[in-house]
Amino acid sequence: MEEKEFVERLKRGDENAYREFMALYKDAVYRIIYSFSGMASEIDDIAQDVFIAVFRKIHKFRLDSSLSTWLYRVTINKCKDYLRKRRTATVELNDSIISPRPDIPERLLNEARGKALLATLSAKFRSVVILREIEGMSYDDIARTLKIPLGRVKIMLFRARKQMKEAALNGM
Amino acid sequence: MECKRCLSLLGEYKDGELDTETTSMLKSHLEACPLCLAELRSINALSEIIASVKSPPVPDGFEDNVIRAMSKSAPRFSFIPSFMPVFFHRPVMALSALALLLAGGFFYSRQNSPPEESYAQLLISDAELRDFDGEVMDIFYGDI
Ligand SMILES: [Zn+2]
Repeated sequence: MEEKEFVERLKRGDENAYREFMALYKDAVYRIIYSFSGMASEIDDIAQDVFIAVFRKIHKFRLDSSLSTWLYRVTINKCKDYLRKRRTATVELNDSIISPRPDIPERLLNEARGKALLATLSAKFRSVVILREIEGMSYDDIARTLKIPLGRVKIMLFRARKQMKEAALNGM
Repeated sequence: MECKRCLSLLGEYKDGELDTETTSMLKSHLEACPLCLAELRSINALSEIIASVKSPPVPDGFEDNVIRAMSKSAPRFSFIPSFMPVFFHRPVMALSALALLLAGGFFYSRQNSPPEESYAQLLISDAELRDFDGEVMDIFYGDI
């Protein structure tokens, strides 16, 4: 579908367009929120907030960026707002650091490690890592989403990886 | 290609962000250098671990909930008459309704003004950028 036409439908408040948009992006929004906050308990509320914010502000949207880029930006901002309000979130994340146990499947162990490693990062580094490693975005798209220069994306990823590697070597 | 340069580019290589020329230079270095190859493996492993973070499934009816929440909190002015005292004369009522509309509109627009979307706090200072090369050196050569 032509994005311009789709944006027009959203601007008109077309409920079907809202639904199509959510169906298309809700999984990604959930993934970002979860990997950002590490908590399942309030994803539903944050995800709702994200879509409501996007629909309410759609009249301000210009086609100089893509709708998905904009959605991801709103999602990350909501996550940051949320974490700002609840500073304890990182503590919960750190609790998931676990040592290898034979009764835990490798997949879950990796997931717990992944959450713990993400928790070692600042919000800004975490945003870049999530967009790259979980959403598989290109550096260009990450730069557009976060409104930062491409060179900074590279540096931030480099540093975030270095930091996570050190954390991993220190027994995570 | 030197190890220093190779190590600084491994992430971009893994992410498929290098041009073909740099990619082939890096590849031939990797064939000859077990140190850099080991570093690439650890970057890949890290990436796999992060990618394994899976969110819980989106609940059924998510779209319905959003639509419902939107219509609940949307600025609908039909509520005004319902709590207007019935003894108000019409002109007063009209004026009050107008005042409420204005106040409501103002409140609504304030409440919904976009949150701070500037990623200024994400920016790395120029000084940090200058340090970058030195840092790459330290990371990989500090204990060699
Ligand atoms: Zn090397």
